[in-house]
Parts: sequence; structure tokens; C-alpha cells
Amino acid sequence: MSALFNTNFLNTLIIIGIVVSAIFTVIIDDILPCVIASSVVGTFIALEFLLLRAPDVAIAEGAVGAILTPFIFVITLKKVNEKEGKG
Amino acid sequence: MLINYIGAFIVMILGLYIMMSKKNLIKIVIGMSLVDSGLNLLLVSVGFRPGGTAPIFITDLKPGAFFVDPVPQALTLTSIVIGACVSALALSLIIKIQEKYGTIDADKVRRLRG
Amino acid sequence: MKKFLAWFSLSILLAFSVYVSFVMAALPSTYNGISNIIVKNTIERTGAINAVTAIVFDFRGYDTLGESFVLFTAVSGSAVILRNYKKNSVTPLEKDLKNSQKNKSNLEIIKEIDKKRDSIIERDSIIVSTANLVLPISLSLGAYVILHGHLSPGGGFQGGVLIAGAVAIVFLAYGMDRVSKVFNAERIKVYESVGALSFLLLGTLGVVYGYNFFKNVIYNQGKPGMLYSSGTIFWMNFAVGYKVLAGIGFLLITMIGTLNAEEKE
Repeated sequence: MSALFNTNFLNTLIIIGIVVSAIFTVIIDDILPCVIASSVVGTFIALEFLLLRAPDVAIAEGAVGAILTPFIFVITLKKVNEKEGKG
Repeated sequence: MLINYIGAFIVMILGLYIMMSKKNLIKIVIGMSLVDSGLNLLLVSVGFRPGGTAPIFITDLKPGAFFVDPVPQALTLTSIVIGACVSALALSLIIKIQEKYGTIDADKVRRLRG
Repeated sequence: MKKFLAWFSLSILLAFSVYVSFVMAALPSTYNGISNIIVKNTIERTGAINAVTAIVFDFRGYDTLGESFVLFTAVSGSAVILRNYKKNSVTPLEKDLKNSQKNKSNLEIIKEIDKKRDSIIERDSIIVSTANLVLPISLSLGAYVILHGHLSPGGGFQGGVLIAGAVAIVFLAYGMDRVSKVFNAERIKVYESVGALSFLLLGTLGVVYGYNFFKNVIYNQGKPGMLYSSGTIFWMNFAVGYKVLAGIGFLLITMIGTLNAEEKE
């Protein structure tokens, strides 16, 4: 019974972490902190997948949603903000 | 479980709000990525059975152990890859839009110009 | 007015979704249906230990085929959209060197270009030394995850994405020029097509033996638990892992190649 209580408590904590990070993604105005906040959302969701007994999905979401997607966002951001001076 | 469903729906609705009301094109793509992540969380939470274990047939399985549902996990793998692909293609389009229009403000690129 | 309308409609949506989640929590479990049959028959019919890999490559192989199509389309579409950017491979610096020293061998010319270019840009030493340590570890971890897809959590996609991170690590540590020298973009494009075609041909192995498409016909070679077991799932893991690493590597090289060359004076 206490083991059940511990699992539910950790689960609730991680879900609260996911929702708070997603709220940060909405509120922040600059783009680079917004991209980092979406990476934090992806990491917390990968942690939640581990608690839901899904290790394959956790590896996939951690590799794609927390590493690959923010990387291509940062490349796009760098390209968009380039000045036209140095052609 | 109940709180997983509510959390996933909240993340999806926040992503939808970003897509609806922000002006910067890159932020709209971030919102789309949030909707994808929330949807994947919802899919995997449907197949959870309390007390179950991961669906791998290890040799020393306890008698009386039962698995969680492996079919939603297999479908979620496909969904994750498709979400990343759509984000990458949208970002390539944004690079081209910035080169042609000079700006990535969603209000200014709305009209088609010849 | 617009913001109020957005908040109002989204709060109605939120109330509706809370009601839907209460109804979803009261439904019976989805296990007593197809999943029961699949879990009971996994080891006899496929010989794979990992049930999720068996479902992805054997029981629901068509979905994996469709997902391969989507990945291929995204990479090709991205390469077509970003086509007109000149690759930063030949600059006036290299042209001068090549015209003045025609009788030296190619290796010596490249070494001189490297020396000249490395002295222009100074690299951050922490990132370079960390990348030198992390790169072989991540490559071997990715290869392990691809090959042991049917025995432990992992599989084709996960390992492919892990290996494709090597492009990102090389770009962060050594800059864009080294990326275009280490990775040959034309060949990686060919490798992706080779991976996709071999995945398709492994699916037609079932038709050759007389059964339906995507049937696992060589599943009883080796006991369940050994590395070479579970028939076509082992080969399909390898083919899909190869395709994913080549595809995502090519996508990253294409997007990195659009950045202008950075030079410090």
C-alpha cells in the first residue's frame, strides 16, 4: 500500500513539472528561453514514460524531443538572425 | 490514470494557445511540437495498468506478473518520429520565408506577393 | 477582444477535456483484446524478447513502412527546399593555395588548408575535449542499441537517432568546415536509399516463401535470447537503423550547410 502511495506521489510531481514547464513556454517572450523550456518539457515527459513502464518510448522521446528538436530550432534561429553584412 | 489524462490535455491546450495567438513563426512551430508531445503522453497513458511491468520477457519473471499494454507504445514510436519530421520541414520553410520576405512576423507575411 | 475570445474558447475546451478524461478513467482496460493475443504469441511466433519491437516490425509492420515513407519525404523535402545555398567548401583562400602549389600531393594541400583555417578560428577547449571523449562512446552506444533491439529496450529508431547525434557533436566542437570534410553528403544520401530499399526487400521475403507480405518466415533460427534470433526482426532493425541514421544525418548536414561561414578577423 505504501509502495502504491509512493508511485502516485512521484507521478503527480512529474505531471506538475510538465505543466509548469509548459506554462513557462507560453509566458516567455524571447525565443531562445522558449526553446530551452520546450526541451525541459520533453525531458520531463521522457521521465514520465519511464514511470509508465515504457522504456522504448522513453529513449525515443528523450533522443528526439529533448535533443534533436531543440538543436534544429537553434540552427534556424541562428540562420534567421544573421546580419546581411558578411555575405 | 486520471491525472495523466488531465496533464496531457492541458499541455495540448497550451500548445494550441501558442499556435493561435503568438506572432513569431518559430514560436508557432514550438507550439506544434508541444501538441505532439502532449498527444504522445496521452497515448502511452491509455495503456497503463497499475501494478504491471514493462513488456519484456526476461527470464526471471515473477509468477503472477502481468504486462502493461504494448500496442499503444508501438504506435507512439511512430508518432514521435512523425512529429520530429514535420517540425524539421516547417523550419526549412521558415528559413526560406526569411530569405524571401525579410521578416518572420506572421502578420507581415500573410499577403502573397508576386 | 481577440485575446478574450481565445481564452474563452480554450477554457470551454479545457472543461470539456476534463469531463472526457473522467469518462476515460472509468473505461475498462484496453488489454483484454488484441494485446492479450499478441503477448501470448510473441515468443512462439517471433522469438523476440522485446514485445514492443515484435509489434513494430512483425505484427504491425505496415505502420513502420508508412513511417519510413514519412521520414524519407521529410528529408527529401528539406533538401529540395534548402537547395540553393552554396556549400562552404571552396573559398578564395583555398583557390590561392591550389593555384600556387600544383605539384604537391592532395594530402599535403589539405593539411596546409587545415592549418591555415584552424589558426583563424579558435575553438573552445572544453567543448573540444568533451567532444573527443563523448563521440566514440555515443557511437558505440548507438550501435549497441540498434543491434540488441529485440533483446532489450531499444531498436532501430532509437539507435539511429543516437548515432545521428554525431553530426551535431562534430558541428559544435569543430565548426562547419570540418563537418563538410568528415561527412560526404552525396554518399549519405545514397546510404539512406539503400536502407529503405533493403527494409522493403526484407518485407517481400514473406511473399517469396509463399505467405503474405511482412511475414516472419525465418523465425526459428536460434533460440530466443541469443543475438541472432527472431528472424527478419533482426535484419529489419538493422535496415531501419541504417536508414534513420543516414536520413537524420543528411537532414542535419543540409540545415547546417545553410549557415554562412564564420570568420574572426
